[in-house]
Amino acid sequence: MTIKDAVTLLTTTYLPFDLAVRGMDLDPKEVADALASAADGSEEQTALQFLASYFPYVPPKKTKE
Amino acid sequence: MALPSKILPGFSATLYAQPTTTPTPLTTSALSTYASVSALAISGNLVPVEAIPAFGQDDAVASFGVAGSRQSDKIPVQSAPTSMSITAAWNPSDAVLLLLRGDAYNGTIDRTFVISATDGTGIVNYAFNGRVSQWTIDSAPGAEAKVTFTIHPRGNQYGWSNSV
Repeated sequence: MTIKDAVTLLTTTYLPFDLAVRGMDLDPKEVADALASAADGSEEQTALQFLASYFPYVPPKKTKE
Repeated sequence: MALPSKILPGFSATLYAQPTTTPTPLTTSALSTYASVSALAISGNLVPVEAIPAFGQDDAVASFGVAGSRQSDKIPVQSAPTSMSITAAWNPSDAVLLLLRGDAYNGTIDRTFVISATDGTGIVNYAFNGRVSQWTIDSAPGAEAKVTFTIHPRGNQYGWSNSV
């Protein structure tokens, strides 16, 4: 499932998000990127904020070479 | 569902109902999106209620008892949005009240309702989808005519949102 499919599902469903998100396997970085580019105050942003809580992105630590 | 990130120390609340006889209620995400909900919270959709009843979630626990045990175990579970009994002055020419009377007569119309709480600057919206039921008009001659009805929320279909 792509981020777009997941957002489409979450913005059209009447199910609770906790139930709708079951079985989704998303890349946390893609979710974080999509959230960063989502329009402020949009339903997509609401859905992506929820997805970001389920698939939290932790940036890799920079190590000294 | 995210809780409102705004605190209103003292506020007044208003009830709004989605218009039209065949409404399409907001989806779960829209119920939690301020822009979608505030579009319904306009004066034309105002329900002229006497007072806003308690709103939010009901208490919900699962009780487990073991034979011989002195105390049972009450475990909190996800609770349903609370039903709301509402009293309004009965005005037979109020368009919103007539709309809700039609809902009660039909019994199966889902509609989005919004309770908008404001302290004058900040706004917190509680939006939910529900059906209207139990429509009684009390026209006792000693007081103004009143209508009492109940809104029963649909399970899981609610959301909080707030102004920035």
